[in-house]
Amino acid sequence: MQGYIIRRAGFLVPVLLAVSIAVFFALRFMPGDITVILLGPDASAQQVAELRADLGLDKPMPVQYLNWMGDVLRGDLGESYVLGNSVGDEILHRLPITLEILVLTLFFTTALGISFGVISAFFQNSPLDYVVRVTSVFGLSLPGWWLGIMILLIPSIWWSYSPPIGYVPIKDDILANLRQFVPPALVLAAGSSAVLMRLTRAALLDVLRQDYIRTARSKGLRESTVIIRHAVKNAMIPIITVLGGQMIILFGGAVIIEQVFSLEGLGRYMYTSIVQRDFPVVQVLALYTAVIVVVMNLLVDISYAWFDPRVRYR
Amino acid sequence: MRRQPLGAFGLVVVVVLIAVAIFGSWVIPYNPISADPSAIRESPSIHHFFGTDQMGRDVFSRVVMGARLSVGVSFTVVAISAAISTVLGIIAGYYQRWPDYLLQRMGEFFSAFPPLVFLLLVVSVLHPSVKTLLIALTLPVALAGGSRVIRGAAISIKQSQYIEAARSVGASDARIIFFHILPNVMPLVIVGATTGLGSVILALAALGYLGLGVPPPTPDWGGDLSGQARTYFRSAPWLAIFPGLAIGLTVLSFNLLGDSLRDLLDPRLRSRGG
Repeated sequence: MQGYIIRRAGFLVPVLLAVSIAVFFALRFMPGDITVILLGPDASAQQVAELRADLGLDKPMPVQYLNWMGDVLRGDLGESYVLGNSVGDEILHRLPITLEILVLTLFFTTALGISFGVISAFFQNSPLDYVVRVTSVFGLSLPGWWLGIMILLIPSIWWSYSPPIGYVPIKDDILANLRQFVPPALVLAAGSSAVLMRLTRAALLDVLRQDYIRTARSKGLRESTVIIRHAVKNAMIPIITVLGGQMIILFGGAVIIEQVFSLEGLGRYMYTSIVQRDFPVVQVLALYTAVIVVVMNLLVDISYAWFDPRVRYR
Repeated sequence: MRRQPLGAFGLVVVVVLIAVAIFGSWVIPYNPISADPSAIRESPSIHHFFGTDQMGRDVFSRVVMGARLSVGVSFTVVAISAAISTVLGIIAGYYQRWPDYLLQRMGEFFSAFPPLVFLLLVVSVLHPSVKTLLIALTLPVALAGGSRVIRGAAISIKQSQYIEAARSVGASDARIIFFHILPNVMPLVIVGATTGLGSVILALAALGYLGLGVPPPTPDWGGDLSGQARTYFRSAPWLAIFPGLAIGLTVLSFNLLGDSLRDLLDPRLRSRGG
């Protein structure tokens, strides 16, 4: 197991290097010259040349890459072209917003997805099962960001209600904070909990047919013990795989949901930086997302061993 | 049909949608891109079923013509990417060893990007156009190293007796792949493609909403929910409701159809009687 983790972790380095190189060079082929965006179309050739030298854009691309990578490895994430501030500070400033959305979404996703999946499997082919399954197909099909628009629109038309404007940190006013963060989290969780519910149901139905479940029942164990201790625990491996995959999708989903709810998190930072051709920011954020994604995938693999002792002996 | 009522509903909507995409221009009451200053933000009525937008354009006509973009893009993307991922999946599963290793590593590298972030990067590197959208939406599948489902199926089919029999009478690899493996993975390909259509439409709508879809004034469900229209949602909610419903209903139908096809085509599920 340890050897497996070390090998997997060792593989992260080339993946992250490849991601950073791909993003760095792709950005430099973007249409739209950053100097034109910063100086306007009327800037003189000399001004443009000075700015390019200032930003280090006059050097060959591989040199630019090595300089940047060297800084990043030393903990200097660079400065935004557009705002001129430190990318690292900006990330720290925005991280709590995205983190809170993701934590709440993860909570709703697992709470709704796993519990309804268990209910649906347990009452297979009953009316309750059908209601849960049809609801989940709706959750899969409606775009989360459109649900978000509706969640903001309907209360504002009917009751002139709108959530607090401007970020309210959780320690300042927990209720106002939750009024801001629960709607986007619920909307994001609609799709991912539907995926999780369908998978939990399928995995449980598979497990419930196994001989050891019949054995557990015939030993006279209570049904709740059979379901929770024997069935759900064994259905956890596929569930975790999907949950890990969903977390990665949610990370992208935050980009669009923060846009809908006007929350100044990392997703919106990513979006505006891409639109404004703010290379240093996009590079760092892409690398940062890649780090989170590969670490998440690693954690998913490691958690297999925790839920399935057989993996440990491999 | 009777055993799969939801799938039948999905199939009907999909057929109607394709018909609308092809023949839509014959049924729309107004030109979807011509502005009418005398009919700005009118609420839904007998003249304008879905109301008009901030430029006086008929929302119903725009939603109908938006089907053309969504259906056109999603079918093209899914056709190309299903072909690529099936071929790569079969190669990885059939040959295993280094082709499999290579494709798996490719998939791992690629999975380091959240899908939407990757789309944003690709779309902004290229110029906004339908071609860009086709590339951006197909690329993830092409780079993902082939379908894991197809790969798994190919590995298990490869070990079956009829493949051994075919090989013992001297069938070539190409013959085995085309006449024995491909027909057997086709049901999986069809099911995957059907749900794939839904996800491509969702991704296309998300890009449109972020203002990175097809350039205006082309009717686009996601695009019609972005930009200037957003400032009028409160006074003219029909602008937000109808394009969104069109996206939701379309994706819902593809998902219902995909679920039913899975039940009908997957022999594992059939034998269980569930």
